[in-house]
Amino acid sequence: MANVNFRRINIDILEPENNIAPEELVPPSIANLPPASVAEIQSFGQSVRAALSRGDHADALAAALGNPPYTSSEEVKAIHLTTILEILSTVKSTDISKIVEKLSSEDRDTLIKYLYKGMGVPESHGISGVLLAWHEKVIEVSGQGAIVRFLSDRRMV
Amino acid sequence: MSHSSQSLGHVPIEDHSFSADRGTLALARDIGVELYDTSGPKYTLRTSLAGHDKTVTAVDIALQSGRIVTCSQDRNALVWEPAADGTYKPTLVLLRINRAATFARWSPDEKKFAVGSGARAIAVCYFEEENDWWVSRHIKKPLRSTVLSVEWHPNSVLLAAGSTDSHARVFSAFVKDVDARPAPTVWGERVPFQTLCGDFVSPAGGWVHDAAFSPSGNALAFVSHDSSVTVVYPSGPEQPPAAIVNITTTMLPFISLVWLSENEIVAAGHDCHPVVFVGSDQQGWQLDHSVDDPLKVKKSSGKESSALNMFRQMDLKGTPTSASEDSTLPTIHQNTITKLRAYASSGGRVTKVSSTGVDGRVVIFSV
Repeated sequence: MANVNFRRINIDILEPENNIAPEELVPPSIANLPPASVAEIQSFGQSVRAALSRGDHADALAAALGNPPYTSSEEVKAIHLTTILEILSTVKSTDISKIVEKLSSEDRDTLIKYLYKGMGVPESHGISGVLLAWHEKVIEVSGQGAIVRFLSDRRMV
Repeated sequence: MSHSSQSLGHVPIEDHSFSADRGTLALARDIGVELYDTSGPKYTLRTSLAGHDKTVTAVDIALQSGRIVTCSQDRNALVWEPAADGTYKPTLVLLRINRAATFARWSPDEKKFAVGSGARAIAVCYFEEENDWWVSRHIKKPLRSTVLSVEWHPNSVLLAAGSTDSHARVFSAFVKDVDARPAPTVWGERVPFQTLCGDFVSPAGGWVHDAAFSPSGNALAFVSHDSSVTVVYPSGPEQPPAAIVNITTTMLPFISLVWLSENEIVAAGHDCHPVVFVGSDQQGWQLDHSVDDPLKVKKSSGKESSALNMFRQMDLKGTPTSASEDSTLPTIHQNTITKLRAYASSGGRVTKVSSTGVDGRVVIFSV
């Protein structure tokens, strides 16, 4: 077989103006968003849990999705993911469609990001079925457009 | 509301263009450009223009002069000059790019054309009388990636470009010796070549497949790979836009769009049928209706299946049912629509658009 090593040579390094730094890929809509600290996201998680214990599932989810820590560290993002997974797993399966319909379309797009991210972490192995149920209900409302937006969006959760 | 459809083989069509009298249709497919005679009920192949040796990515017929510009992944653009006997004489245009040319369009005054490319550059080409030669000037900054589409402002100076770096940009393509000084627009007053007059991103990002100015030129719309259409109303030079309206949809991404009037846009793409958006800067925009709506088409479920077919199904799949065996789509286009163009208009509003797709069909939709 022909030598394929030449494909591993990063030819763009030879042309400095072809290099794109990761910072340049940050979408302008979140470029000025201040990163959240661990303490902040934890206290936010507490307030969401308080709403959950009152039975305000829809409000708790909307609050958690309304303000995702896009520019924060991986640690902060992981804490927020745990909070959201907690909300998702406490909602009764019969209530899912009602809550999804109440969310704004941006919140539904954000929820899709957390669903896919949730499916990728080991902590969610017990609740994969729940995540799939949510996914089905969100796609029923938001259509395939929501999946395509997840793929193209660089605002990562 | 009738739509006419022509199936012209199964080779995907990259781009199409009708002549001013709508009597000739040019199709860019594979490595050639096919010219069809469209006067009869069935389009007939008149001639093929062979000159490129890689996929032809765009074709555009100038409405007045009848010249055809084509560009290809072989990094070249050709201008085809019509001769009296119906043949065409190609002239090579030196684009000076080291990647594929992706898109080409004549300016409305037909003195220039713009070619987008994978070399992160737009080549603006114009004819130099003294050298008898098409020359090109490059718009490079701040393009960060491949340019997927270029579309001219009605004043033939401003240029909208959609790029895979998820930005839709408005540039000045003012060439001193060719253009008269343009009247000031909302995009800028003094616009030397390569001035960036606007730079917009959809909130969820994604490749910008197509961008276009409204008929007045005072608004810009673009479709990106996040299944959304974004409409931008600038407020003046160096100022933030008066309004940016982003309409997310439940559909698959759109590839192409056409303004029907100042308040209507038709877009089409991976969902194989066009949809119409209606709105304005004050009221915002929303999806109004689908043209050739697949949900309204009745499935031909009453098809009789032969006994032979039934036993064959039982043999193959263990069930006699052959429901959902029909692999055709309920839409006219059977695959992604790659290009929409205005076809006919009356009273300042576009009433018909032509579309071509990966399925090799040419459809004229009443909208």
